[in-house]
Amino acid sequence: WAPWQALHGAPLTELSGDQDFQLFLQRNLEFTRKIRGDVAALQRVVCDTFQLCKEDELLLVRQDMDITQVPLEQCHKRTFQAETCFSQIRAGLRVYQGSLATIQALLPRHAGLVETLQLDMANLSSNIQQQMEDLGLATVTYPSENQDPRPTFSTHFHHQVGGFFILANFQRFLETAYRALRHLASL
Amino acid sequence: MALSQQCSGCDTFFLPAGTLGCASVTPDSLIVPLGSAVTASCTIHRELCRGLEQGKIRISWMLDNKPVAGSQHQGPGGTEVSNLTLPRFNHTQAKLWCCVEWNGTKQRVGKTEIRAGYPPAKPLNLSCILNLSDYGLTCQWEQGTDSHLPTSVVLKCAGSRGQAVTGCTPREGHRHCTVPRRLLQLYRQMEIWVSATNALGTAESEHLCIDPMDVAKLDPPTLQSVQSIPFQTDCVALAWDTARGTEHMELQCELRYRAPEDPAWVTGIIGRAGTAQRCGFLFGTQYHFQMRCRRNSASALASWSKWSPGRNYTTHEKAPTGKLDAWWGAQPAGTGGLLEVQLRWKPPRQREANGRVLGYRVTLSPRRRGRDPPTICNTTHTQCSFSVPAGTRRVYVSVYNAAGESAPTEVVLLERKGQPPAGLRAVPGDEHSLWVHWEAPLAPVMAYVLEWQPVTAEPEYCSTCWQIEHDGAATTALIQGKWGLPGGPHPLVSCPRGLAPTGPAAPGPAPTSWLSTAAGAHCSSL
Repeated sequence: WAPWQALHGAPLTELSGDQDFQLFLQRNLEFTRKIRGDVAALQRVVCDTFQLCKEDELLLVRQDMDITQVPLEQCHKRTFQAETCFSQIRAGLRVYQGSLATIQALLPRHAGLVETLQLDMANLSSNIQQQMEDLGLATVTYPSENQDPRPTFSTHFHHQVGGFFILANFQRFLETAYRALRHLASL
Repeated sequence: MALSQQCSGCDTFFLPAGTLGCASVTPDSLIVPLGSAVTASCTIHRELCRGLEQGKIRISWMLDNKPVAGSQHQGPGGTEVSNLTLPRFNHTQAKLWCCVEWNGTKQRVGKTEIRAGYPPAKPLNLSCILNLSDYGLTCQWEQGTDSHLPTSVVLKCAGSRGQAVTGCTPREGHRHCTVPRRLLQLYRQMEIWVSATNALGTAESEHLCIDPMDVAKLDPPTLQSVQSIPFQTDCVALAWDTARGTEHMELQCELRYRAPEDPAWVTGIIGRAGTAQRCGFLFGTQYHFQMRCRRNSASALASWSKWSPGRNYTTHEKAPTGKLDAWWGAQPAGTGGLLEVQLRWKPPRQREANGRVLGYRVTLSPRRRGRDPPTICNTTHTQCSFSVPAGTRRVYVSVYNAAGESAPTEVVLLERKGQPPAGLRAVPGDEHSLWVHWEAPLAPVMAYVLEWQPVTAEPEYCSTCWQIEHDGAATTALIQGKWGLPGGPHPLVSCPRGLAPTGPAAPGPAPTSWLSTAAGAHCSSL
C-alpha cells in the first residue's frame, strides 16, 4: 500500500486512518487559523490607518494595478488533487511571503507582526513539505531568499491599495487552503 | 618591580630582564580528572638566569605553598630539568611553582596552574514552555553535580529533519534560556536537549521531542458574567472570554465553584464556546467561580492555565422549603384555663432555607389560600413562649426569607404517655461533643428528641440544648455544644437530660431519666 496513492483522488479515505497524517492535519488546521487571525489583524490595521476597508470601493483603482493572483484551483472541491493542492499551497505561501514586504514597508510600526506572519508561513510551508515527503510525494525546496521581484506601485496611494488587495487575496487563499485541509481531515 | 606575564598556550613565565626565559614549567595536562596523576617538568636555562650562571642549581617544587619532591637531572643544552609526578591530584585548582635556591633563599622562577574536576554531569529534568506573547520557548533544567571546571552549556534544537542548532545559551550560573521564535518550527515535532561541555567531555540531557505549541503556556480565561437563568431554577449561566492569543486554538476549559463553607470544589469540563449553563445550585447561596483552560490537543504535555481570578455570585432566593425541627414544653398558666407553651425550633439547613432567613412565624392555624391567620409570634429567634387556651392541640411554625414563606410545620401539643428509653448513658466524643447511647424501646419509634442543659451552680435555661434524631432505629446520637475549654477554671458541665421517643400519633415531651456528665467524663445516673 502506497499512502501517496490516496492523495490522487478517490481512495483518500485510506489516509483518514493514518494517525500521523491526521495529527499533521489537526496541527496545521490550527496553524492556518493562527495565520488567518494575524492576516485579519493586519487588514484591520490597513482599514484603520488608510480607511481602505471595502473591496468593492477599490475595484476601479485595481484595474490599473498588477496584483499577483495565486492559483489554488487544485484545492477546490470539484477539482481536488491533494498532491497538487499541497504544492499550490506551498507555492502560494512563497509568493505571499514576498508580497508581505510590501505590507512591512507600508506599516513600519507593525513590522513585528509581519515578521511573525512570515515565520509562520515559512513553518507552515515546511510542515507541508515534510508531510509530503513522509508520504513519498515529490516536493520543491525553495531557496531561503526570495528572488521574486517586489511589486512596484506608481503612487503611495497605489501602494496602500496594493497592500489592501495583497492581504485580501491572501486571506481568501488561506480560507481555501484551510477548507482543503479540513476536507482531508473529514475523510 | 618584578612583574610576570603568562604566555597564553605555553604556560611559561617570562620574567623581567635578567630572568627572561630562565625557567619553563611544562605540565602534561593543564586540566585533569580529579584524583588522577599530574606530571610536570621544570627546565632551568642557566645562561638566561642571571645569578645562577655559576654553581650547582637545586630545583624544588611547591604545590601552592606546600613543598613537593621532584627528581632532578641534567637536560640537553646545559639545562637543569626536574620532573615532578603527583600520583593523586586532589585539588580542584592549584598553582605549581618551580623554585631554585639562590643565596640561601628559595626563589620562585616558574609557575603553571593545574585544574582538576569531572566531565560534566548529565543535565536533568529538561522542560520547556512556550510564551504566547512572543512565541519564545523557555526551557529549564537541572545541572547535576558540579564538575569544578569551566563548563559551557547550550540548549540545542533541531527540526524533524534539520541540522541541530544552538537554540540559546544560558547566562552564567543560570539553568534556563529562551529559544527565539525564528529558530522554532511550530506545529511540528522538534528535538530539544541541553549539551554541557568542559575540557574533560560533553554530556547531553535526554532529548525532548515536542511540538512547541504543545507546551504553550496559556493565560487564564476571564469570567465575564454569572447569572441565574431562568429565574426560579437552580441553574446558573456563565459567560467567559478566553485569553488573548488563544483565538485560533481549540481549548478545553474547566469550571470550578463552591460555596464558602464547602470543603471541596465542584469541577466540570466545559467547552470553549464562551457560555455554559450549570444546574444544581443552592438558592440564596454565594458561590465562588473560577475557570481555567488548556489546548485541546492529543499531547499529554498540554498544561492547564492558572485558575482565573474568582468571581462571586449569590444565587437568587426562593421561599424556604421543608419542615422545621420543632420541640416544645408546656405548663398550665394560672387558673384561666391557659397553657403556657415554650416552642423551640431549629433553623432550616441552607439547602432548605433557600436564602437568608428573615424570621419565623407561629400561628394557631395553617395559612390557607393566601389568608393569613393571626400570628402568635413573629420573631428572628428560634424560640417563642406564648399562652394558648387549654386544649389547644396544634400550633404552626413557618420560616420566611425575602422570597417568601415556607409551608407551616405542624406541632402537636399532646403529651405522650409511655416509658422513655432505658439505659441512657453518655460518653465523651471530643471536647465539644458527647455520644449519647440508649436502648431501643419495644414499641416502634419514629424519632427521638434529645435534650440537655448545662449544669452550673444554678442550672440555666438553654434554648438550643436539644435535637431531634430522625432515625427511629438509632440508639446513639452525637450532641455538640460548647462544653468549655480544656483547662479552663470553670468548665461548663453539660448533661443530657431527656430522651423522648416520639411517635406519629402524639409526639411530646415525656419524663426521662437525667444524666450528669462533666466534660471528659462519663455520665452517670443521678
